[in-house]
Amino acid sequence: MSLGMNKKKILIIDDEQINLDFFDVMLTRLGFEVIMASDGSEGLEKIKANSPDLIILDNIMPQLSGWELTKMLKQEDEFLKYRDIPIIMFSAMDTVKDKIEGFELGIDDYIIKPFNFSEVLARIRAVLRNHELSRQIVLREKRLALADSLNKSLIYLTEHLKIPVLGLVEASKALDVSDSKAVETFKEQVVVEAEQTLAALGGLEDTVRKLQESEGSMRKAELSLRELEERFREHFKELHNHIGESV
Amino acid sequence: MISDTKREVLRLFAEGREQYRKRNFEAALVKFKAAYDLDPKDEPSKIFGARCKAYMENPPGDGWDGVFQMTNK
Repeated sequence: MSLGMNKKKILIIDDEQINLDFFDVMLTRLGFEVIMASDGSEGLEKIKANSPDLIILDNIMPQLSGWELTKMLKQEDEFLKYRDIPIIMFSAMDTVKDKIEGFELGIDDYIIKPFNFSEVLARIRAVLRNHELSRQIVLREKRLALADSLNKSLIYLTEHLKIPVLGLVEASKALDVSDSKAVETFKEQVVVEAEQTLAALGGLEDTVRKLQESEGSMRKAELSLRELEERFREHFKELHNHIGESV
Repeated sequence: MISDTKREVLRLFAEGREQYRKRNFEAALVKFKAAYDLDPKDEPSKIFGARCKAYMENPPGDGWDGVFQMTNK
């Protein structure tokens, strides 16, 4: 599983070569892996081939438009695996209706052209950060569910241990030690109860071990919020040096 | 009468050409792109933008005089 900001893959879909070139140069310099597609259908192919972390999409393109591509990605079963990839859409049109339709389709951000590159970067950062946070929440939910299932096993075990142990206590209180047949029966009862208890404990031990293993691997993939912030800051620190030079 | 936008496009394009001549192709691309964003119909910015990318990948030789040599098509 890829962690934090290690070489995030960004797919740029735009029919204008100068836009592709510009984003390729700038985003590569900032440490992203840049994939490019010059129309919608090539874009869909590259989504499947590369499974990018973010898609930057031009709305107005010949053949397949940004809207149509987004609709396919979000609604068709063929793209189920890629449905959650965040999308930033560019458009030359600045109408409220377009923006609302975009957000309803499931895009994450909408930028009006002409745009300022530092604003675009800030938005890329915000979208990637939100997406990473959602991923972390899902991870934490899974860990919580694990802890919950462990709790349930423990409750089940303690409840089921209580009854045989209490039974043994009762039986020992009532036992007449001079009655050798009763002692023999009691001994058998102790053996049976002890074996069952040991088997239950063995089962619990296995469960705990399995849970710990999966929890360990989840923990490795989990970042604290502070770590997450630091990774993003680290990744974008070049931004400030960089913007000074541009337009 | 020349519009303010066109004046700005021309300024950015001139600055882009300046960087281009000095072989600062990345800085030139930023300027051409800014000019293109202001006026998406500005063909010269698009053409020079594409040349910047090509030269960043394959820098021109020492004797380069600023003239683009077609290497494909």
